[in-house]
Formats: sequence, C-alpha cells, structure tokens
Amino acid sequence: MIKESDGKIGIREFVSIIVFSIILKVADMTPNLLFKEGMTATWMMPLIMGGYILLPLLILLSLLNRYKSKGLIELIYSITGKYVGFIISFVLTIISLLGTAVNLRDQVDILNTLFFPKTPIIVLLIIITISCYLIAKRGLEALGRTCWLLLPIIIASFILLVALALGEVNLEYIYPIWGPGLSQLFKSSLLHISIFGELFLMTTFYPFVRDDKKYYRGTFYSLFIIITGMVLSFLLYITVFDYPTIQKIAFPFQALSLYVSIGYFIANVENLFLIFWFIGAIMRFSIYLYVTTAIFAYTIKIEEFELLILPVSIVTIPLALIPENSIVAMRIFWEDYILKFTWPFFILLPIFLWIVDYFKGRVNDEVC
Amino acid sequence: MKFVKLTLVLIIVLFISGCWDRSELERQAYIVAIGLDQGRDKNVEVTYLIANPQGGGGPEVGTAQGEPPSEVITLEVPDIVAGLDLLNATVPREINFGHISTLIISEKFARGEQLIYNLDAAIRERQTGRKTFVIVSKEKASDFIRGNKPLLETRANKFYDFMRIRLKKIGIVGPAKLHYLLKRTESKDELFLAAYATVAKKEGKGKKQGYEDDYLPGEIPKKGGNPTQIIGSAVFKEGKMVGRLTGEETRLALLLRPHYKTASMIFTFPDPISKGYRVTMRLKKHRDSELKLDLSEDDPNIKTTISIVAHILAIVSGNNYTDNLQKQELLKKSIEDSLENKIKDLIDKTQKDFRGEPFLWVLEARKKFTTFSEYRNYNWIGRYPYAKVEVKVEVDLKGFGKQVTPTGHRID
Repeated sequence: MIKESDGKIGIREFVSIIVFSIILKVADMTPNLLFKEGMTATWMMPLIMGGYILLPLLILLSLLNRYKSKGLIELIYSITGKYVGFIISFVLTIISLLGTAVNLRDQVDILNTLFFPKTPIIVLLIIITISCYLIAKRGLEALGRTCWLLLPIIIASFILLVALALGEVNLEYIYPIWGPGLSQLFKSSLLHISIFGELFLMTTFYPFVRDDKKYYRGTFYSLFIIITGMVLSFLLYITVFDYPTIQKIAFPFQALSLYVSIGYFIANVENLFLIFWFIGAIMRFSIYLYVTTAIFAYTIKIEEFELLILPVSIVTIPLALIPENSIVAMRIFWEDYILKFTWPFFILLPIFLWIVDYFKGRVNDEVC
Repeated sequence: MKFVKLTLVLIIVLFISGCWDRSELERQAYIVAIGLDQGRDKNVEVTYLIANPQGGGGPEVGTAQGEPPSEVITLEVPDIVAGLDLLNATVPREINFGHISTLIISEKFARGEQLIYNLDAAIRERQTGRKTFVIVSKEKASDFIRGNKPLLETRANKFYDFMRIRLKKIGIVGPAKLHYLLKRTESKDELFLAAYATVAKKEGKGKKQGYEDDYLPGEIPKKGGNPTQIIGSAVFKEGKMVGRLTGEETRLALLLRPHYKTASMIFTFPDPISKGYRVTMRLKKHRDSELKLDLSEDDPNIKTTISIVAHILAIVSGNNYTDNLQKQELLKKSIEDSLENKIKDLIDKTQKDFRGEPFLWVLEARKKFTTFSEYRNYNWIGRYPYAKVEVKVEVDLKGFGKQVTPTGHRID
C-alpha cells in the first residue's frame, strides 16, 4: 500500500536515525577517550552510561507525552517560558553545533591521516560538508529512509569485521575485570554520558514520529542496539589489542581493519571497511546538521527550517577548522570542553523540566 | 536536461578521484620487506626490498622478462620513513608501504636501546600494519636480505609469507607479529619471541647434534638449497633482545602457553631400551593446558599440566612399542620424563637468564586481580624469577602409523 507522505517517519526510520547518529562513534576517536578511563573494563561503560541516562530519558519522554505534538525545544519554551526557555534552547544549539563541528573535524582527520595524506584538510572538510548538506536538505523522511536502507549494510560490514578478527581475539585480555576499579568506572562513565546526548537532542523530532507509543518503543530499541554495538566493539578492540596498547592507538576501528585480512593473500582489506565506514559517517553528519538546524530554528521560532541547513553547514566548516589537529579536537575541545560540561545538562535538564512542570501544573491545573 | 545534469556529475567524478592523493598503479614501487641495522650515531641503515610485479616472470603478456623480480636498496637514514623520498633518488616510482609483510632486524640492532623507538616510525606510518612478521637475523639485515636466495619462489615476498605460515604451523618459530612485539613491550610483563634466522655461510657443518629441532640458525647440518635458515627465537624483553631459544625450546615454550594448539610437531625421543637410538613421534596439542597459579605468597606458585597426543612415526631401534603394552607404557613414561626435563631446563633458563616468561602465564595471573593498578603493583615480571613452577606432561599414545610390529623387530 502506498501512502501519501505526511512528513512523518515510522519507528524503523526513527530507530535507524538514532542508531546512525550514535553508533558510529565507535569508529572515531571516542574509544580512545574511553579506554584511557575504563582500561580493561571499558566495554562495561556503555552499559553503565545506559543505566545513567535511563531515568532522565524516561522523565523527558513522559513530559513529551503530556504535551502532545511538541518537540523538545517547544516543550522547553512552554514549560520554562520565554526567557529561560530561550537560554536553555540556545545552550542546546551551541552544544549541538560544536559537537557537530568537532566530530566532523575528527572524522576528516582520520580520513586525512589514513587514506588521503596529501589532500588539504579543508578540501576534505568542504567535500564532506557538501555531501552531508545535500542529504540533510532532503528532509527528515529521506534521512530516515536512507538510514533504514543503510543500517543492514553497516551491520553486515561490522559482522564481517568481527568474523575476520575472531582469529585474533583473546578473551583473557579483558582481565583484570574491573579495570580502574568500580567507583572510578562509574565516575568516568557519568562524565562521558554526553556520548549518548543525541538521544535527548533527537526528541526535537517527537512530533514527527507517527505514534507516541512508537516513540517510546523506538527510543528503547535504539538504545538497545547502540549499547549492544558499543559493548561488542569495545570488547573486540580490547580482546584484539589488549589494554596498554589499545590506549595508544588513535583510531582502533581503522587499526583493526588494517590488522585483519581475508585468508592469507587478501591482506589489505582496510579500504573495504573504509567505504562502509565513510557512508555511515556521511549519514551521521547529515543527521547532525539536520538536528542542529532544527534545534536552532525552533529556538528562534522559525517554522520552515530546512532553508537554514545551508547556513548552518557553512558555519560548521570554519568551526571545524579551529582545532589544530584531532588530538586537540577530541581530547581538548570534545572531551574537556564539551563532554565534561554537558553531562550534568543532559541529566539535570529533564529533572529540572519535570520539577518546574510539576509545580506549574499544580498552580494552574485547569489551563492544561 | 537530465543528460546535461548527468554529464556534469560524471565530469565532477573525474576531479574527485582521490583529490591530491591520486596515484597510478604503474607508478608505484611496493616495498615488501624492510631490514634494520645500526647506522652511525643515532641513524639506522634501512634496507628496502622492492618488489617488481613485472619482473622474473615467464613469456606472458605484461611481464618484463629481462627485469629481476626485486631490487634491494640500503640507505642510512634517521628512521624507516625518513628514507621515503631519498629512495626516489634511485627509484623512479612513488614508494608504497602498504605491502610490507616482513621486518628483518639485525641481532646487534635488536640488542640495542634504539630498536623500540624505531618501530614507532613503522607503526605510525599510515599503511604499515601490525601483522608484519618480525625476523631477527644473526648477521646484518642487509646481508640477510641480499643473501636470501629462495629457489622455489621467484618473489621474495612470497618466500617470506610462505615461511611465516609454514613455520607457525610446525612451531619452530613462534607467531612473531609486530603487534605482539609492541603489545608485550607495552605490557612490560611478557616476553616476545621473534623468528631467528641467518644466511649460513658454511654448509653442512652443524656445531652439535640437535636431532630434529634443537638448533639455532646456522647450526643445521644441511647441504644445498637456499642458504637461509629460520629456526628458533630471539627473545625480547621490554623491546630489547635479551637472548635466544633453539627451535626445540621455542616449541616447548609454545606448548607451555595454556591456549596454544598445534596440529603437528615432529619430535624424536631417546629410545628407553636401546641406547643411542631415537623414536620419532608426531605430537599434537588439541586441548588447553591446565594452569593453576597461587599468588598468595611472596613467590608465585605455578602448576601446569600439559596434555599431548602422540603418534609413533618411526622406531628405528626395532623395539616393539606398538603391540607390547608394557613397552608402550615404558615409552610413554620416558617421553613424559624427557619432555618434563627439557621443560624444566627451559623454565630455569627463562627464570635465570631472561627473568621473564614467554608462556603467557601472566594472562592467567591477571584474572586474580580485580583492578589494573592492583595487578601492576603485584609486579609479575619482578616475581616470576622466584616462582616455584611444577610442570606435568601427560602423553596419550594414540596412533602408530600403518604398521603394527616394527620391521626387523628383535624377538624378545
């Protein structure tokens, strides 16, 4: 049955979008940040982080459910009012924009380091941004459908990588089991929960998902896929490379694809995985551009936000050029400036909204 | 209109084919092996073995019959990568590191402090992988690469690849990947076994009687063929070569690794009845060894049981070890004793000479700790030399080939 497009997406598309926006972090420098903290127990960190964000996420979803047909930014405005709402939304815009720029830069640096060493970074950056812009311009529906189409391919390539690496895996490398110790593990997981921040940012599109119940289900499906994927990848990295070594490897995913081979004679398979990884990365940044634009547009209350994607894309390029290299981009800009400042935001914002809503709801119950 | 759009898109494709990194297959020179020697001051002498995909072939299309299959060039440069452009003073093609499969280090350089820092260059470069096979040569690496004259393979890279695969299967050389060298250097608690090799100058003169595998390179009593001998291990501790193991010691070290499995190792053992004769066996290890560590005292207590399946291949003494069950038992006992004694000597050697273990026992020790800092504080490598080790070998005599009673069997 062919239905007329209503500008909304179904659960499959929604899950694919969220998965794409987060899972590809296992293939950039994020593992390097986490292994520094989690040592041999890094593979547990996604589980712990999932536990941390569960409650705030549930609170946020129940709020969204109460204020039907409102996305995250509209919700913030209607709960906290014009001024506070603007400040919070503006902060979210900044987080999203900087996150996009810094992660894009990291991605470009990986390409530059491993595959195109002679090409100037700015050229790679412009080409990628243009591709992402062209995809993001097609709108949420197109994004969702493309992600849904690509998801099986990305998963298949990941399974292929696991299968090829299986001969190199030594499960004993995960010992000592608690890595830096349980308390340290919980602490550093908390500091890095912004890695899952897109889950919160994606609630901007709450009204665009066909069914409220499906939104709940979709969020938990994607959370499940993301956590499983991350745990498996981190397990793979640690069991192939072992702890002190993995911490020194800048891009574990690419190092792994360089390390495995198909049989004895097809030794260089990194370019095969480059294709899948690159397609995934393009999708990821298209989503980032779209989300950033949407948040920005809702903040300044513009309805037709798809025209804003171009300016946002153009702003991203100089922002991505600010860090001198990927170490500065990821260790300083991303980890020290963004991750370590935004984690309370993602945990406290839903709770804050809920408290305000609770007291407001008591005062003017009739209005609601 | 559609046609115009499509043409425009296709024209764009011409310009984005690799951006600045466009490269032509024909203008690439592929390096397949690299040799490292000590140069003057902090420099290294790097020997590049460049493969010629066209050369050395038969009269087919696309081959250049007059060209040799490879070119060997030695440069003195600060590190492996620094020579990339300098190579172009002689080689007209762009140098490509993507196919390096073998790294040859001279023993003198391997024993020095500089090696581990030079490997950084090898691993930082984007194309070089961690799966590179590491060989330590007794002589200078450049002499080794030039002296290696494989007769069955035209291409040197094929020779090294086949050797790596074959030697790993029979165990006279360990799985000597560059990744393991780096990993064990970084973990500080493990020893790494690199392949040990030489291009023997004198033929046929073995220094000692090593039977089937107890040789260092250059000692094998052999005549004819390629002068190269790759057997035994160069032992690395903290990124520096500290000693060597013969082929047999390497095999025993591998057998001591709890999860090491092998399909075939041909061993000979002294005949327990007729002195001077030896019984030839094929040993297989299909099961993980049992390994128990007790770290509660100051010195670790290590107990391990290795179960091995043995097949008789030859009994030149003519003793009936096949259908005489008492003699079978006697043979089994003597094999177990013989292996246990050899293993004891090997462990003594690792404790006294190397002060560390290549048996991956540390991985078992890691399970005893809950956090990484506890494990680091325990200082496994510092305590291992004082460990009490008990090794038990259990042999199952599973097969005896397609003869029952030996030919020329002496009647008892």
